[in-house]
Amino acid sequence: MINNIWSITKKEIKLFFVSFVAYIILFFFLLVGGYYFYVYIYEVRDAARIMPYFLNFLGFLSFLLTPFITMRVFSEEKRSGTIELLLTSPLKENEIVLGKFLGTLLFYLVYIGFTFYYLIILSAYGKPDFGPIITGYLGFIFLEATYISVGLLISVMTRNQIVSGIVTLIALLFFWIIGWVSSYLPGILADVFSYLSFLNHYEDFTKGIIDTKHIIYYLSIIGLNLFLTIRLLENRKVVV
Amino acid sequence: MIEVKNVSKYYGKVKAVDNISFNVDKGEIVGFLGPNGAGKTTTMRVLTGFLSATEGSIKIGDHDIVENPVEAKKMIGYLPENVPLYFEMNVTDYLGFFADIKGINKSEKSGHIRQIIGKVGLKKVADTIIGKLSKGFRQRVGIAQALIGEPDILILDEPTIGLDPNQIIEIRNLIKELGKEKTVILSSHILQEVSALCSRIIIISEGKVVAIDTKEDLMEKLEVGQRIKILTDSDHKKVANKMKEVKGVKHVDLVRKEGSLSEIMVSSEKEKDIRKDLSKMMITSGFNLLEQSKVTMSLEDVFIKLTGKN
Ligand SMILES: Nc1ncnc2c1ncn2[C@@H]1O[C@H](COP(=O)(O)OP(=O)(O)O)[C@@H](O)[C@H]1O
Ligand SMILES: [Mg+2]
Repeated sequence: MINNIWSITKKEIKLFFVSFVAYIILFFFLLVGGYYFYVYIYEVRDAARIMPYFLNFLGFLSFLLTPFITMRVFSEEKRSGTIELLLTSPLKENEIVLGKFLGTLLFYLVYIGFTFYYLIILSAYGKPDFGPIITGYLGFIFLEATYISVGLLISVMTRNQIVSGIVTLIALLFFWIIGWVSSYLPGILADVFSYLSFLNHYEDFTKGIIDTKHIIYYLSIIGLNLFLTIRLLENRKVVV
Repeated sequence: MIEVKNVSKYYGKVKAVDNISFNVDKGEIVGFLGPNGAGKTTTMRVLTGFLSATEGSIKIGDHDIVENPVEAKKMIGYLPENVPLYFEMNVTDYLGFFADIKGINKSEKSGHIRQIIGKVGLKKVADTIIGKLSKGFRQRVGIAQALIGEPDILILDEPTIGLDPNQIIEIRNLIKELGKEKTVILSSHILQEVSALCSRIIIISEGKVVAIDTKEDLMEKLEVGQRIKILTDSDHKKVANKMKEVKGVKHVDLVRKEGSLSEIMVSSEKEKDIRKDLSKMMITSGFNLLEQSKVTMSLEDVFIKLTGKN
C-alpha cells in the first residue's frame, strides 16, 4: 500500500519537474509573492507581524495558482491514455489517488519552500515571531491540500486540461466568495457560508492558534473529495 | 489460463461486445481478428480489468478479474491500442516506474529492466526521452512495459498498427519470440498477421464471435491458397492454357483486358507456392511476363466466406 502510493507520488513529482506549466506557475508565484512580500515590509514595518500577513496572502495566491497545477493530474492521463496503464496495473484506485494527491502537495510545497528565503531575510533584519509562523505554515498545508483535493476531483472528470483548470478555479473561487459574502448575509446562512469557506478556517492558524475544529474541517473536505475521486475512478464511467 | 464466459459490454445503450465466450490455454498465441469497431479493444479492456463487463465473468488463472483484480492483473502484461506512454520520461525511468508499481524488488529492479531492454531491442535508446523516439521504438517501449514483472499472459491490442513494413516485421518477430514462453492474445484486422503469428484465431464481428478455430482449420475453411496476378501482352487464351498445366494451379481467370494487355488471376491449391513455377513457365513458353504479384485475402473476403453474407 505505502510502497504503491509512494511510487505514484514519485512519478507525479518527476513529471511536474519536467512540465513547462509548472515553471511558468513558479515564475508567477515568485513574482507576485515577492512583490507582496515587499509591499508588506513597507506597510507593516514590523518584522514580527509581516509573516502572518504574507501567509494570508499566500493562501489567496495559491487558490489562483493551484488549478494550473492540478489540471493535468488526471486529465492528461485520460487524454494520453496512460490512465489505462495505471488502471490495469496491480494498483488499487485509492493508491493511485492518494499517490497523486501526495505528489501534487509535495510538489507545491517546493514552491512554498522558496518563501523560507523571506524568513531568512526577516530574521536578518528583525525578530519575527516564530510561533504564528509555524502554525501559519501548518495551516497553509491544510488549505493547500484542500485546494488540491478539489482540483483532483475535477481533473478526474475531464480529459481536457483547460476545462479542468478553469472549473477548479471557479470552484475554489466559489468557496472563497462565500466566506466573503457571509458577513453580508442574515442569520444561519451567514454561519453556514462562513463555516464552509476555505479561508475562514485558515485565519486562526496564521494568528498562532491551532484549533482541532479547523483541522477536522479541512480533513473532512479533503477526505470527501478524495473519496469521490476514488469512487469515480472505480466506477470507470469517467475514464472512457 | 483465461476463461471468458458469456461476456457482454454496453457503452450506455451501445452493445460493443455481445455474449462472447472462449478459453485460452497456457502457451497459446490467440488472435482476435475483426474489422474496426468489431469489439476487439473492448474485449481486451474487459479482460485486463480496465473496464468491467456488463454481464458475464472472466477468470485469469485462478482469479476472477472483478473479485480479485490485483492478483489477476499481476498475471497480465498489456499493450493498449495506440500505445499510451509518458512522453516526458526516458525509457529506463519509464520502465522503472512500472517496475515500481508492479512490485518489483529494489534489488532486482535494475537487472530486470536491463534484461527486458535487451530482449526487446531498446539498448541504444535506453536513456532517450520517449517523446523523441520513432513509432517503432515506442511500440517496443510499450511491449517492454508489458513484460515488466514477468507476467504469464501478454495482451497486445493491434501491436503493429501504424508501423512501416520493416517495423511490422520486427515487431512480429518479437511477438513470435515472446510467444515461446508466454500466453499471448493479440488483436488485428489483418488476416495475414494473425495467421502468421497465432495458433488459434477468434474472429469477431459486431461484438459477436463468428468463428473460433485453429489456424489450420480456419485456413481449410477459407480454402486459402495463393492468388497471383499476372500481367501479360501475349495471347491470354494460350497463356491460360499453359498456366493450367503448372503444378498446384487451381483456377485461372481473366480479370481484365485492355488492348493487348491481359490481367490474369491464378489461384493455387492450399499452401502451395506457385510463383516460381508460374514465372518459369511464362518465360520458357516465350510469353511476355510484364508483372507478377501476390494478392492477399482481405478481411472482407474472409467474412464473405465464413458467413456467406456480403
Ligand atoms: N468509449 C466508448 N463509448 C461508446 N462507444 C464505444 C466506446 N468505445 C468503443 N465504442 C463502440 O464499441 C464498438 C466496439 O469498439 P472497439 O472495441 O473499439 O472495436 P475494435 O477495437 O474492434 O475496433 C464500436 O461500435 C465503437 O464505436
Ligand atoms: Mg481497437
